[in-house]
Amino acid sequence: MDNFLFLIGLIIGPIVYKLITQNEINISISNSFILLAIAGLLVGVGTRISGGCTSGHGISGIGRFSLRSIVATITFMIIGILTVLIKNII
Amino acid sequence: MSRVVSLISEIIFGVGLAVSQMIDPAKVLGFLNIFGNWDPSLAFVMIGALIISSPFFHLFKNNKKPVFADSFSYFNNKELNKELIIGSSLFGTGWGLAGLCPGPAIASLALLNTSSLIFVITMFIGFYASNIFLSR
Repeated sequence: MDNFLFLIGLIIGPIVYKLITQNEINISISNSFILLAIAGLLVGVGTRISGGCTSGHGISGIGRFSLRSIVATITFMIIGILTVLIKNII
Repeated sequence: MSRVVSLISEIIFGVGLAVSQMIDPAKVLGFLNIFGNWDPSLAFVMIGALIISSPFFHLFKNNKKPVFADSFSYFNNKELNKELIIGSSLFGTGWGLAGLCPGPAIASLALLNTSSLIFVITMFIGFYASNIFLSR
């Protein structure tokens, strides 16, 4: 139940922002649905196997000075940068 | 009470992702594009979040439990194993391909676009698929 509220809160957040500031939130996703599905799977599996994501390792983990999280964050930053580089070349 | 706090803290997280534009995959891809037209601004979002959260993690780290929950939900695993490296690498590949990671992806469902939904659905398939793999 708490986890469900967690997800709902996360979705309500941007709506609250829109209502208060009257700003539109512009996002642009240029990838094909196939690529998004592959990326979604990779992010899902990777988060679960490594035990964290940008917030889990990058903020909570590094915030607690966890060596595991520092290593994980450096790894996914480097791989993320290389992925963008390779994608731009192709 | 923990439910209310859970909801409110996630609303704050969601507002933060919207204000900082981390909710926008194009912004994230610009941040990762250090060899091209680099947009370093998201580094300040992460550093800012750490400056705020890190002192509190340390302030409360010796408590048996959080103020508003029954237990801390982070791991105390200290082992640098191959799962950590493989998992982070897979995560980095997906992050670099789409510019989306779990928090912002779920927050962007608020904007009702199909792309976010496809990403979130496949991400949850990934979570559950790894559960089966990990429980073996």
